[in-house]
Amino acid sequence: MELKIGKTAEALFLIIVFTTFLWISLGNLWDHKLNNSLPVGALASDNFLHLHFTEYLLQSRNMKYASIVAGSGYKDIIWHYAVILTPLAAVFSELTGLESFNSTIFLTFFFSIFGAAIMYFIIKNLNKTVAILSIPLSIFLFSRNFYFIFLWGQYQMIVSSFFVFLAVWCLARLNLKNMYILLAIAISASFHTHQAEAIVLVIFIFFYTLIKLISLRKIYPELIELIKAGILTLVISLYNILLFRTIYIKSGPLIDFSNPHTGYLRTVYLASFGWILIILTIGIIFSLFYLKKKFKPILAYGLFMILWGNLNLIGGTLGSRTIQQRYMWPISLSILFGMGLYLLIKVTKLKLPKILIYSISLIILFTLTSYYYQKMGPGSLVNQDQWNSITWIRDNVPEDSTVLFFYGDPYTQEAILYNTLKHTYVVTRPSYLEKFQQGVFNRTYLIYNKGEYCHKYPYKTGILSFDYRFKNMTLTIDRDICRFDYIHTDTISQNPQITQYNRLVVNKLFENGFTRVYENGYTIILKNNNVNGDCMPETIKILEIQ
Amino acid sequence: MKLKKDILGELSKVGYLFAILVIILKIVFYKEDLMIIIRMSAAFIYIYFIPGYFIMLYWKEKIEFIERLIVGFGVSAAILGLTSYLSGPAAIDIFIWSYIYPIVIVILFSIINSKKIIEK
Repeated sequence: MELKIGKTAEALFLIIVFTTFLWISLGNLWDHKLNNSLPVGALASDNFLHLHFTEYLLQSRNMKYASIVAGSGYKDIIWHYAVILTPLAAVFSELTGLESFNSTIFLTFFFSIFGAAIMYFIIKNLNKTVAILSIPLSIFLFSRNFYFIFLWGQYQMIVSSFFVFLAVWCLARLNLKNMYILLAIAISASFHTHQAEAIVLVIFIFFYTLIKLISLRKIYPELIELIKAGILTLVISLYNILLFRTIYIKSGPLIDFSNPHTGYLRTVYLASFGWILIILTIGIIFSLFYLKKKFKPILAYGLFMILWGNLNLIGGTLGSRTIQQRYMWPISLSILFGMGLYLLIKVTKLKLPKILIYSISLIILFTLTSYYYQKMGPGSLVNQDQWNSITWIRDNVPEDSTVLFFYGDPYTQEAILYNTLKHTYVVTRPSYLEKFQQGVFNRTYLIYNKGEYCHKYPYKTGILSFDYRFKNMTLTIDRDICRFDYIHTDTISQNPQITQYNRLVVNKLFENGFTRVYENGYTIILKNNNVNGDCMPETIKILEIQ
Repeated sequence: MKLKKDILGELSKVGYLFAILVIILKIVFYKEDLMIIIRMSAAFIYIYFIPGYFIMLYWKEKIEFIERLIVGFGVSAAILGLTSYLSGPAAIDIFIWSYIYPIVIVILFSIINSKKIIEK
């Protein structure tokens, strides 16, 4: 009976925590609605890159080739990027009827919250009281600069970290029969989602095993399981390893100490935890002592992540890679927070019942929320009209047509334009501004062929052999406007002069035979009726702007 | 017989989970239509929790129900994601796969788990 009450109390506690996390994160961000008409909470280019993958998968229905826009016009580029979150979000969208962008953002938040839940169970395997006390730290995921990984679209990193936590859970349970299979699946899922997190995990497992091996001075049963997990991970990931091996070789050294790390615009520090840092420090010291007594993976993991996150002090490009991992500190360091609180309760020598521990944890959770949490209301990089024009292109422009984006305030965040799912080009901003300042509209601009060039556009040459289109490509060159089928431009800008200029440009295009195919209050899409011909003079003077 | 009864009992708890999900989502997204929330909760149960539950049944004696459910969610997501991607070169329709995936997992792990029981 007592056990049943205990389990009910635990379930109730987790439900309250889960509801609180979801309320203050996505609930507030989406104004407590699910069916948004544009990507709310997408404030940077990366968000839109991921949203396009989901929408494209809904249309292509398989993951054989990347979209034509990601492939810069090539249709045979192998789908190699964003490979786990995308199918999960697309399937969820299909089953629920949610728009693909809503589905992607929703699942990302859901995974992060479930990551905190998995961490709770990992810590519970060590000590239940510590687990209960550790959970409030995860609220920082949605506070201060930590929150920017959601708003700036680091979706893959978040989901990959979830699989890392799953792998650490498996590691802590590796004594169970066949658990190595789940460990291999979790590591592989992390590797396929975002490799950086998986690599850090493997480094952690390596050092954890090494230290354990040195301290025990014998082959222990879990080591065999770990080797089996490693072999299985290699088998599952073989396809992607082969695909990426050339990319890595061509990219130069993974870590380069001759170059300084680039850092992040909104870096997080240990100081980002505010006064909580005191409890974390107590937790670190206590954990170090405890680790000597019981060499448990979760304690080693918490301490390793704090060390790893500060390796930027060594310098080099290693710094960039280590700083990135800090954003998940609210979950990965929660063990240290729990240990700190646990010690503080222990020194009082009070024997607190579990129900009181749950209450203390919830009080801390709500206190931290009221103290550190700043409500983030609905917002997006694009407005409704801009988004509607992009989806109009997606749904109405023929597949082999080309689209040129002439001007729009947010389109310097170019991944927005992936969502056309059509072969898209964009006039580079300096080239546009040069002509704007001269008060002319030219037939030739420096134009960028939009695409996901980071991975060199791999395509298949055999069953397990690949080559890369990138070596024959020049993405940004002077291009003739007349070669494009459609021209998209915003007719409103935050700069009134640009608004005036763009409207005059549109008028000149009308005069030269372009026709309007879509228009709303903010944007216009024109069709070029003389593709590859002399669709307009070399230079048109926009006199009124002078 | 007892195990079968246990599993049926646990599966009814998955039913409770559906109700809890509906309530939580309705509280958080209170401006949203109830039907969308019911559909979302059902999708979660079908795609993630039921396959995850059957996979984690393998460790039933060692891991308690809530933990198996949460971890099973992640394992199911990992398997669905990996199989969808790795079937890419064969151009398999991932939506057809996603509909049959839970059924495949349930059948496969029912066989594996029953074999384990017989071995005992």
